[in-house]
Amino acid sequence: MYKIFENIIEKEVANSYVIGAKELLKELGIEFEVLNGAKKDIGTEGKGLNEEAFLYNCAYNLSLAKEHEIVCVEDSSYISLNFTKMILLEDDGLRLKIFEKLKKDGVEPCLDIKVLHICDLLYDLISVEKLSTLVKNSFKDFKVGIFEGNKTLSNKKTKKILESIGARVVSFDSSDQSDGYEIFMASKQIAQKLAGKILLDAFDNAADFVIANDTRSFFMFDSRQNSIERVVGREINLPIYSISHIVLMALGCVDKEKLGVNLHKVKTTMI
Amino acid sequence: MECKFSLEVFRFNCETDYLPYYKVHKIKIDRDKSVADLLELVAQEELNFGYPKDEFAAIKINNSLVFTSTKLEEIIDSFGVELIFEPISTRRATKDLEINRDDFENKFNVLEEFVSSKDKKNYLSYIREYYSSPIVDLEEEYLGDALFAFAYDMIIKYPNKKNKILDTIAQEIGVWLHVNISNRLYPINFDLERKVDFLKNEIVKRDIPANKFVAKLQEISSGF
Repeated sequence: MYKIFENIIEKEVANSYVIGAKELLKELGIEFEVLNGAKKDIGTEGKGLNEEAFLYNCAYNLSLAKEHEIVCVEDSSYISLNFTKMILLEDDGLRLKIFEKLKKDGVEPCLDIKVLHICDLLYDLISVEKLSTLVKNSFKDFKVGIFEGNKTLSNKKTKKILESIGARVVSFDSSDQSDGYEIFMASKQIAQKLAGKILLDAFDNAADFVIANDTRSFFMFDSRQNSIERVVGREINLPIYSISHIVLMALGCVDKEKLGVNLHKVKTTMI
Repeated sequence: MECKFSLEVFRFNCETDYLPYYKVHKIKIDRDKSVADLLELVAQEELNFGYPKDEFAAIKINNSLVFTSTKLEEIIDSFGVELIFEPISTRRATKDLEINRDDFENKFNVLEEFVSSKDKKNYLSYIREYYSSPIVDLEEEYLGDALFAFAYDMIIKYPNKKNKILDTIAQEIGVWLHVNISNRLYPINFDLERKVDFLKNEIVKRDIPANKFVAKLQEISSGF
């Protein structure tokens, strides 16, 4: 049984990522449960402020999953959980410290948990060949930009999945640069300049919408898009989606509430 | 074994040109040679071609910042044989691949009083980190990623200076404006991220916050 991690970073504005992913798994007949009681993902930004709390929270969430596989609906939680596994497996002292704290809090520590990305399920479990046969609404008339960001997490599966539903992926130079989220608290102005450069780059390369699989990027690109337009002095109006939203639309779902896209600041007009 | 490169080389002279242009070069060279050797061959084909030659000479190859001492074999494995050569900061280009690096060198002064003059060489070794960051083009006062890598090294070297160094980089134009630039460096390197995380954690851990912003961060992190 897959356990969906839904206590994502920026959930207040990006809950559509959870809604869309759950609906997609239902549509594809993949059984899942929610990883109940999980601590909130504080992302690598949280790690920068309090590494021990970051590792504890992630180790707690891993331990909750017990023998099940965790499915992350976006990049930040996927990175946080996998990063924690790597750090704690390499550092015996830190691992012991975190494990002792978990035991004290009544949690049996376990790091041997597979952490998957929603793209892994679509690509490896379902396969792009199968996906292409399920398409009801082809995206052949749409050009899509994929924003990967500066996380050094190259997700080639996203591109293959999008191509399987007919979308034309357009490349743009700043797709691997910082979206500004990491400095947003320190300087909204500079952060929005960084995000604005990326949105304009995608827009100028004819993208009809952008896939951002990280809710931190979604926060910058969707929730802040109005402010960004003021900072860069141009209208942008570029919708932002997760891979789940787009695949679900391709499979025939046009209900904005089921997709979760009714919660987006930049309105969906292609349905 | 010999290999043929197809290069697009950034050309600009700040004294005579309004705009830069790219000149194509097809050059054969042994794969065992370095980027610096390849640049020397470009210079043989071009009169007055400017490129960095110092100990920490670096250029941008296909958008990644690379030391020119890097072996071509590695470059071929990662980028192929069609390469775009640019200065590490096109905004600060003076002559082709050479730049004015006064801004970078001057930022050393921020920590100068806590270290020895011999330590400057260590600082200069982080030139790629400094110019990889997009923030240097957006905030002139930004202390720069080179200074954070250097600050970490100096805290290890001079532990008794730790608090003073932390206070210095904790200012608003300091470490809080750092963005991850690991994927801009060749080879990809996470050392800077590790060092910056250490510095931020140490700043936030201190009993007396260095400034109001740090106090706010302390409040946030206490809720994790």
